[in-house]
Amino acid sequence: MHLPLRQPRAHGGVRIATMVVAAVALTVVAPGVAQAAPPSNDAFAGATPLGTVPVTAEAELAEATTEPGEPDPSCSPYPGSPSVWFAFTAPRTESITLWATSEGFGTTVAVHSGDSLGALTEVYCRDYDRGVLAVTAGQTYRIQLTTPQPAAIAIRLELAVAPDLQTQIGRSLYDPSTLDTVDFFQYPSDTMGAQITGVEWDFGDGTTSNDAEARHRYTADGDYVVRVTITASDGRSATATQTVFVRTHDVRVAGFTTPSAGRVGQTKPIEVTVGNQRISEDVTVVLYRGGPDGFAEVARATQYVPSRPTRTVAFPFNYTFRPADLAAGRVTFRTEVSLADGARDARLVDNEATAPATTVRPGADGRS
Amino acid sequence: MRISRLGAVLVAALTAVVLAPGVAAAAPPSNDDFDNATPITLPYAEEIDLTEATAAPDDPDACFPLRTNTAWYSFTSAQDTTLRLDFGGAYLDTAIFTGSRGALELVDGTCSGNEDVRSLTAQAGITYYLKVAAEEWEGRFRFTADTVARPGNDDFAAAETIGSLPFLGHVTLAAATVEADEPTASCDHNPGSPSVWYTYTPAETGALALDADSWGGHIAVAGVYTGTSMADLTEVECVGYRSVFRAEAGRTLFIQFNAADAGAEDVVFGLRAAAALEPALRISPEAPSVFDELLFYDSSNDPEGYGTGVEELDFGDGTVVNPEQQSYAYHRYAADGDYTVVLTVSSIGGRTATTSQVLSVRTHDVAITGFTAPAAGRVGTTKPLTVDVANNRYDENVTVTLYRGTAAGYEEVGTLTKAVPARPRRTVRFGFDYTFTAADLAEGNIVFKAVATAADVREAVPVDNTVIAPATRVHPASTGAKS
Repeated sequence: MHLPLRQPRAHGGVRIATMVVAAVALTVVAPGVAQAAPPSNDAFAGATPLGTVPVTAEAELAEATTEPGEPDPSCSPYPGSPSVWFAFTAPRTESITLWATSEGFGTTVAVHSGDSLGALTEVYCRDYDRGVLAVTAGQTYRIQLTTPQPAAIAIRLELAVAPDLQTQIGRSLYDPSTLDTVDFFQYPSDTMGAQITGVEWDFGDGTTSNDAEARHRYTADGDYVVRVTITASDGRSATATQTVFVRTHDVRVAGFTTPSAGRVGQTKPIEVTVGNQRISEDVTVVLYRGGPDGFAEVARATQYVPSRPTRTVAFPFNYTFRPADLAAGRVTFRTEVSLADGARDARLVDNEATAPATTVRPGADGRS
Repeated sequence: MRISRLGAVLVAALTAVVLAPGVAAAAPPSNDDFDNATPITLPYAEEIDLTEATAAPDDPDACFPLRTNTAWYSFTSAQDTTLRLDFGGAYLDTAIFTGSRGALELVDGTCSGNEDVRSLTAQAGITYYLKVAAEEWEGRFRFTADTVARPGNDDFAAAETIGSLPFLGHVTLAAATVEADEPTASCDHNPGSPSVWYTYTPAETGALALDADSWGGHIAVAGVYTGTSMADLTEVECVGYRSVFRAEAGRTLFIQFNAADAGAEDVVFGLRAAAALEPALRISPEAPSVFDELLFYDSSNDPEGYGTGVEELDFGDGTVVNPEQQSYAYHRYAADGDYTVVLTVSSIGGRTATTSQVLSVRTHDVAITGFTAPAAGRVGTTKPLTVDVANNRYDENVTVTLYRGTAAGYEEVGTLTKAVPARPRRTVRFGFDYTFTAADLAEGNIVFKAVATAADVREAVPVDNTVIAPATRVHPASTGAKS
């Protein structure tokens, strides 16, 4: 589809002979065609000034030439292509995008800093897609637009404000406690598809991390604002925050008193005591009886259990032995404590107890 | 793509000169038109090419007017006869007519559009006209015609005697007849189809498997009768596909076999002794106790593919059930023991089978009836824990494992194994010592759990084999002289 005028060669050279070739070709090929003059911004000195972004400019390269001493864009697949020049003085410090609309292959946009052809430093080069350039307020940037096969149709150069880099925070636990290690993730989104080169976490408790996926354990309950800042290879950055509420709920079964024996029909007391050194809250105690068919709930009670260093709250139950308890001659009591309002107990191991089996005998009157 | 008729004729004429004067390639067949119908002389064989055949405007469109590449044949016989018309498996439309051009009359039941062999039942002196129509692209095939013999066992009186089983008979029914007083089998939906007869006298009583051309797709039916003559036949079975039925020793069976849709194709009749049932009983769970509601499941197999039903299930403890319509039953034994369980199953054809197995019911039930764990401990101090195990059924070897529970879960801290004899009122004590550590202090409290396991047996009541103590508080090591 595409027939390059010249063979690609190594980048970075300075052109000398190309202009002569172009002139010869002109006289031979098109003597009858009215000869148009090169565009006004053909030379570096005639660069067309561009105002504030967004801005669009037309580049007429049909009669463009190269200039002695003109640099070759480092990313151009066809060095020595004719060029036109634009000058952009940044009104603000920001990230902008540059984009040349061209049907042809090999159209290249290069940006240089410096004020004369001999003292240019290339700061940007893209040969087929839109790229991002971080610019500094007040500084002038020289934009060099080249194409290997200039067509009559103008190439449009577009400068626009770069889209924001964005990110979001995710974490492995919604309701962490001081016993949990939380995994933090950040999910960047970027229409420019830039590579993320830096991630910085601030967990809100004075600790930080530079890992892309960070793990953290808080040492005390509290509300912490987690902040992540990411940086892209083109200089843009993004920040996201999230508040983490660390609450350590931990109640325990402190005592479980069951009778060692009973008779069918007899009623005996069972007591569960619950301790709590963390957050004062409502606690539900469930009592189960177990036999050959497994455990089944027989009673439950809910009480407020305040946080106290040593004292506990007693949950008293009464159990009346039933004929089914005689099947195996024993009944096994088990208790479980849980928190109201969906709170998560951070340490479940001490939330249950299973008593030694209680021996069951027929009723005193001989009933079974 | 299509060569015009004139062009085709020209090409045919030119090539005919060069190649083979006798073969008229790509020309309409000589019998393309009704007036030039080819007479069928027996035996008849011809390589047919209908590629260039045409239909005449006055061809009868009695049954399949779709295909237009037609040719005509005629057949006249001096005596009644039946013909087998074989088109080599080509997919064709055929129809048979009587009469004359302009007044052709379709012979009943001769319209067919398929790949089958056709038949023609011809009466003496009548001329039959066979119309053959093909699609243009499949107009080449081999056509053969010959008489079909009347089967030797066409009549009841000439029934073929089946000597030994298994028996497999191939028969062409096209020339078979229907006798005047022939019965119609109860499952025969095409009464009056020509039939043949077989007879078989079983040497012993048992189940027979009869296959009435089950693979052929010819709507075959086999009526099975007992009796002495055509006049006093009593149907004992009617098989429309294949089936299994019971036959008694010495009682002669007469089997009437027909196939309404066979034409001149072969049909297959099979008779053999039915396979025996393979009884099987599954009981779960294994190693049951008196606390288990046991599932008894009939997993028997009928090689004939009809499935089995439970006739009777004897649990061996005096309980016998008959779970109609169900392949399973539940039962619970009141006492330990060895029970002989007997399952009887049945299937069609009066087949039954029985299987039995001895089921051992043993109730192993050890229990933790005592557990003492310290309410609190100091780092560096050692405290005792005791686990009391009760057992009043069988002598067991019991292992008690002690676990320490933390936020990360339980980990084993000790294990002890002892013989625990079966004694109703006494328990065996397992003693452990536990030394509190700095790691325990970091946890704030730890939870002790003990699990008792009897070796090599299935525990009947697992709930009383595990105990979990209330949390044990952990305190720092005491400072100075106190420790």
